[in-house]
Amino acid sequence: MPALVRMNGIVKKFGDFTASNDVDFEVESGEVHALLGENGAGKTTLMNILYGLCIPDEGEIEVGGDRVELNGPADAIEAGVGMVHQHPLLVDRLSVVENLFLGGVGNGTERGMREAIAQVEARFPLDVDPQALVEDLPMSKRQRIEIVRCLARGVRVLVLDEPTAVLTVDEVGDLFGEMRLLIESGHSVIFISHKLSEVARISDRVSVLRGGSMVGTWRTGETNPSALAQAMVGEQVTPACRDGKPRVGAARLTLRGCSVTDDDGQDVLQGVDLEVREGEIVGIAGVEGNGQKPLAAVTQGVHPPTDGDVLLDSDPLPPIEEWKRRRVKLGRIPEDRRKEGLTLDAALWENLLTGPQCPDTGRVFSKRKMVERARVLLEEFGVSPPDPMRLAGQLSGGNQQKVIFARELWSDPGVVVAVNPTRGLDLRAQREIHQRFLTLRDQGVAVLIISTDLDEVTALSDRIGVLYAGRLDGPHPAEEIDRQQIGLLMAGLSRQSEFDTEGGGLL
Amino acid sequence: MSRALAGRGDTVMLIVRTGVALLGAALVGAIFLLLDGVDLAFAFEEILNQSVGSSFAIKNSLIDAVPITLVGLGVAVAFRAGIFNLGGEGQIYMGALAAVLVVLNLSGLPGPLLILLGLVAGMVGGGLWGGIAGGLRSRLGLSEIITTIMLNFIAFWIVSYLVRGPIQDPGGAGYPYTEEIPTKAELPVIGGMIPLGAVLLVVAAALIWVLLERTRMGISIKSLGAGEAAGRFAGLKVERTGFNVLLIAGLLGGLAGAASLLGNEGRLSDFFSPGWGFIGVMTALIGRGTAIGTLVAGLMIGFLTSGISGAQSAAGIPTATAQILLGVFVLFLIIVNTDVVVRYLRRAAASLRRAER
Repeated sequence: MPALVRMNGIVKKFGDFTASNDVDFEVESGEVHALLGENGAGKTTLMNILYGLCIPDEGEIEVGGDRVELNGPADAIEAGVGMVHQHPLLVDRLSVVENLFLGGVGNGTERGMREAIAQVEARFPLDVDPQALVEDLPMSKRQRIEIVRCLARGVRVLVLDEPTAVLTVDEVGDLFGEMRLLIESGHSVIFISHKLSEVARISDRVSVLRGGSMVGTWRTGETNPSALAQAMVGEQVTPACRDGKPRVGAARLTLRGCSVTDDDGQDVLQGVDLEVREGEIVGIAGVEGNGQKPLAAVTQGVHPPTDGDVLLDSDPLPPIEEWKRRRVKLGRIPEDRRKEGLTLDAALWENLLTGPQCPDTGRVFSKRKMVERARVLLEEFGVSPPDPMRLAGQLSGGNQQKVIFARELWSDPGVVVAVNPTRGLDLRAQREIHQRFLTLRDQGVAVLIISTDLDEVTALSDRIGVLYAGRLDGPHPAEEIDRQQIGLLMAGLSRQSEFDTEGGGLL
Repeated sequence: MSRALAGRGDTVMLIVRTGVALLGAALVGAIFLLLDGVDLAFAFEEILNQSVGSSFAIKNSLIDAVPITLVGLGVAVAFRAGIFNLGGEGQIYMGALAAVLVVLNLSGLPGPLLILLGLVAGMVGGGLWGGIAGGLRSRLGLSEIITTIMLNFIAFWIVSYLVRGPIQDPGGAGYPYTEEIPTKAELPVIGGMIPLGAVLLVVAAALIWVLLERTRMGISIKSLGAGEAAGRFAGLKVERTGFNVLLIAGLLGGLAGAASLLGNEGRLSDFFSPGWGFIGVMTALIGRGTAIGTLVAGLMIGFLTSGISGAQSAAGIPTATAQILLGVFVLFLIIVNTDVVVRYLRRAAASLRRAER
């Protein structure tokens, strides 16, 4: 059978970063093709290229055997490619019909639209009250509206971008039913996911991307989770840079049965127990969206857990507003250095004076003295140039991160919690920051690193835990867990999993 | 070294900007004056005379500068935190009301004490008004843009009611104002030229400068103004800071009311403020939210206001045209201080320097 979609030699670079490195990808008609990969593996870039949101530097795209130039979503839809986003791009305050109308369904008249929808419904039921407001609908129904919108516009290939991440277990079942319906009516589905169990359950074939390159494509029934996990996480890229056994002391940061329920009532963190001890680095791996944010929030004092305790030594960790007054010494490297970490419009010396780790300044300070102290600190932390009058927004990402380290380590805290500390940094800056963590560890600091970069976690950690769906597995001593096992845990399986080859499901 | 030069460049640029604005406003203003058949040269000379031509003129100009600059400083502090205090009018009225009540009821006290109590009462009255808006914002999340405007109406009508009833001057032939304050409660004028209100002004500007540039609270305020996320992450008390800046704005607005009452007006009426609360917002905008900038802008508008209104009768400028002229000046000053224009001028200056080399 000829390929419905063929992407050939796709190259896409963002500056020095290669998001797609000579990628070949094919989708046959009538199949569910899973696209698997870690964060930053290039799944989204590849699909954005297929949907016309992103124009490749090199490579060709064919849909239905015809070469196409995709300069925008309109071109993609014209060619027969549609995309359903994880959070559907609908206007919440408008009704289902109004949204379909805005989505370009039909010929612009109400009657035309009704006919178009009726045609779709013959094969694929909308199953939603057309007059309902989108804001009143659950996420699964919203995704359904997007699917109908695509179908009504004659799309043959549907890209579903991690649709299950926002669905409940029952809704996932419904979605898979819908996907089968789509296949039966001759459509193809590209299913982006990092959950191996779902991939095994629904897909006919699976392709794995890693670091922007295509690792391979397999028939789902002919592979197994270990092989896929291995393909996904690959070999260690950066060699383990720690050396020597950690000289571990007492527990400094302790989590006991920590759970967090978010505003939507979802349990985003469930019963996490964790100890970070003097002189060790504990790394928490996991695919983004599996509880990293709430874990960071409770360990960095942004908000307390809904349930359970966070202890610094033996005292409950106070809310962040109290830290300055109570001299809580815990360094925090936030996930988003540009939004949370720094005030970009302010000078570096002012940024250094923000937050709880800076020394007392007295009621009214001398700017000259503060700027001088800032200069010494910036030099010590290798910020270049060490000019305290510069605005934070004028610095490179690596230098910005160093400024945050300088500020957070100013009080010599005994505990440091970092979230994705090297995301988006170049290799040199990455190495410098990794070295900084190792130095801290050797000085007896308790370090917790929550990172979606598996290389980073394995290179630095003395103990490794894995977050999946809000639960923490481990942490296990680094010697006792290998990359492949971590990969399986990240994908929601146990450390020893096999596909049930006969049923096509999982044991 | 390079920073020092850059700093000087900015000052030069500021002077150039202001010069351009004054010139542009004079040109546009001249059109209106010509339409009224006014002798241009004489009119501008007279405006200059009436704003800085004598110690008497300077005194009047400074008196005009006092309320708008004090309100402007409050607006500026709030502005730096990303909060819009449009409640200057209400804060002025409540401040003046508190001051007049204290001064009239404690008139047995010695003058200096009476003045001090009057000014403090003014700050309490204005602070209360600013504090209400601050509390509504920090506790209930109500937009201060709405509440400060609404509180303006409430303050105005409270005063309007009182000066037409309970505290109306019995010998005032039914006019809606209070009795005049005793002479000993009037703010002195130093050397016949510098009203005490102007001294207050400089002190207030200095305090606000220290607050914004030399304290951690100032850094918090500016950091919140630049975006809340970093401040929240750093553990700043975001709601509390929002309350604080509105309280400070209220204190300054109240002081503006009290200082004008004791320094110039002498009695409270329901036509006490000719819109100082809003002119103060423009003052802070022209001053780009800094203490010194607001001080300079306030003085400039004060001198322009006094000069133009003083020149009216001598130069035969109709009242409406005088107001238009003042409006044109303020508008031009705001225009040259918008980011777009500032950036454009910086770039132009940079390319000029390159061309020289």
